[in-house]
Amino acid sequence: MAPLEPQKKVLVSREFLSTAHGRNSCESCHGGDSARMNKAAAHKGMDPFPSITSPQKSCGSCKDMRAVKHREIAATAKDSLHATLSTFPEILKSRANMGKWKTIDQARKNHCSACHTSCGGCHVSRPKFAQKGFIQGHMFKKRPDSLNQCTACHGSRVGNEFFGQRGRGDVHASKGMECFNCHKAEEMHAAAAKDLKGRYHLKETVQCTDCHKNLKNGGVRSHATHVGKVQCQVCHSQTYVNCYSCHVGKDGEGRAFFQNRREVETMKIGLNYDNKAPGAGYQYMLVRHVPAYPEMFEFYGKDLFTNFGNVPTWKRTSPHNIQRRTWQAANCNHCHGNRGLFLASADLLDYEKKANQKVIVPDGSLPKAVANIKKLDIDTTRVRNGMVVNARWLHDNFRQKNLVVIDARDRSAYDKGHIEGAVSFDPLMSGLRAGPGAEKPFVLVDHKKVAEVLGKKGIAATDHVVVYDQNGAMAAALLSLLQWAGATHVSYLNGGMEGWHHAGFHSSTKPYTRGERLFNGTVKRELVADSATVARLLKTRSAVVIDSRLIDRVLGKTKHELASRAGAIPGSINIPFGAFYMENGFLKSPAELLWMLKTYGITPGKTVITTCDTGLAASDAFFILRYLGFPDVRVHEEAWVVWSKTRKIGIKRP
Amino acid sequence: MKRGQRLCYIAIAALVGLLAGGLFPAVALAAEQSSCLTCHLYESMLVKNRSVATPNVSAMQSGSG
Repeated sequence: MAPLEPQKKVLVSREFLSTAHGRNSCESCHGGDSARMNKAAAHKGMDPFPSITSPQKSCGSCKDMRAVKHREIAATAKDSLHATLSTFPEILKSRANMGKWKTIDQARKNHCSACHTSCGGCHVSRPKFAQKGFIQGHMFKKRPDSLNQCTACHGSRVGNEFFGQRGRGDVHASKGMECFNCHKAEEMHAAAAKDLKGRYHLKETVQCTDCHKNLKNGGVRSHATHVGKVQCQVCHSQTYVNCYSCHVGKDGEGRAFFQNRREVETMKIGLNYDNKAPGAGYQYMLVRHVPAYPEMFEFYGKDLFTNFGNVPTWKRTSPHNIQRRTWQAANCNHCHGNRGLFLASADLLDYEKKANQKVIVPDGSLPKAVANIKKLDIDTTRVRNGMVVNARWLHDNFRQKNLVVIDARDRSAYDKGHIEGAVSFDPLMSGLRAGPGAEKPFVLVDHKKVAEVLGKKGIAATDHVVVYDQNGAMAAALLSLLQWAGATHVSYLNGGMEGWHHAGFHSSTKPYTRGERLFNGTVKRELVADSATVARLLKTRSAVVIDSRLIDRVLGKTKHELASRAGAIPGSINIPFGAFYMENGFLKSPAELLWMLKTYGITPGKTVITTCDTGLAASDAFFILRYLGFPDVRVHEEAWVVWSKTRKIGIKRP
Repeated sequence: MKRGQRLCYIAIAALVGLLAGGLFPAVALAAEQSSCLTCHLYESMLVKNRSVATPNVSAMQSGSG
């Protein structure tokens, strides 16, 4: 989420003035001197965030009779987890060398306490961590805005999972639900006990079973055997990100930061080491690797966490990417007997072996494979395996004749370090698509021009072109374009730069270029569909349209800045980008991807058109479908930005 | 009560009434009449008066939960 421009952050709407809060004087909440006409004098003593300073003295002290609830809420909300982050010091203490607590606490205050919020951060403006700014001209909103407030802070995990930046997104999001539909005021405003062991111990915390009642005796056979023994998310979550080795420091301008050294998308089931938490009597639960590590505050001092082994680093998690049908639950033996899905000693790093002894699942506790279970009927014989290569293959075949390696990240990332011998080629900056001011923004320019650009980069249509980036988005878009332009042999480097490093190979900062060549490819126009074709095929039900945008776009909650309106092509199926590419550009197995598509009724026998806002994410989905062996896949190049301008059909979903 | 005294009370009551009548809308419309809104209702005024703010979040910062 981009920060607001400074003036927009504090722009009050006229609508606000006619609300109950707008009838109070500005000073009554913020102080300052409203009689003064110069900025410095008027702002003297002014508190821009009165509810952070003191919820009780601001919102909780309102004399208006209608605000009686405010007083009750402020009395508990001042001690809520959002306001105090009280579990942070508790957990740090349990790992700490208490003789150095002052140092640890100073680091905590500098780097870990920016996330807290109070009344205003949920009901008026973006929280401080999200760089502030009114949501709607200082209007007070009874319910927080999921996009601008909740996920402005809970973004990189929860927000990305919920809206489909990572995985297929959450079924609750697809149904139009907001954060507050599950996380109600009682939970948000609840006072946390000072010695609360962790956030899941808050008795007001929402449980799946608050809505999904009587599961054990319902119609789902798996529920009868699993409810109470297995956390709901074990069966209903998708893969999620695990963070490693957080370290803190200050940048060149003295601003504090924290940074994870590695993030990995995976899924692990652990033993429940904390079954005293409300509703957590089960034996197995999903566990996420938290970024804590013994040297995380080394910037401040040495030997700060001498009791690091006291608390697990694989902790209970509740990913926000719930789906009714998931790969691990698609077949009993995807889970039962699948050692790789359960946390093992081998998954632990040296510094965390002691910490996770209660979490790892010993072989004896592994659910046994179920006999006589029929395997899923997934045909992987059509998969074009050569379209994806791994780091080891690339390393071993680097000197192969006609092999061209392309780094599709932006130039600054290339300059910081790239695979030695790779050519920098940022598809966004190479004139391959029309500009934002064009009549049809972002559509591909004509083939002659594209061939010219490719030739100048030293690529010929008959070369074997391997492309990589950071997360798949640019690499796959470029690979799709190469296929359209007539390249005959293209491959995606699985895992991109991260995969290369993880395999133990080095990078270089030495730029590399290739001599100009004649591209000489024959354009494959059948790989692209215009809007008229998309509309015609949809009308005759001759094609499936995959919309690979995020869920909030498809629901019409947000729109691309160049789109005329929010919405989606009627009849399209939303499968967000994150369903196709994992964190850092790794791909799930072809069998899993084919199964996932099948759950939407999308099988290789169908004509598939991929669409998005600008054609970019659509190209990414296109590449995966081609890799999986779909014979008739086309990119809707004109995409929503053009469709919304030129065609009347297109709905704004609830 | 002397006539002059009565007139005096009436005059004071009238004055209090006038003052109260004048003050009431001022209280009711306090936010609207605040000098704060001389700027905060108008984007152009905010642009004109804004100070140079340095970003308070480091570019090296990882995302949060």
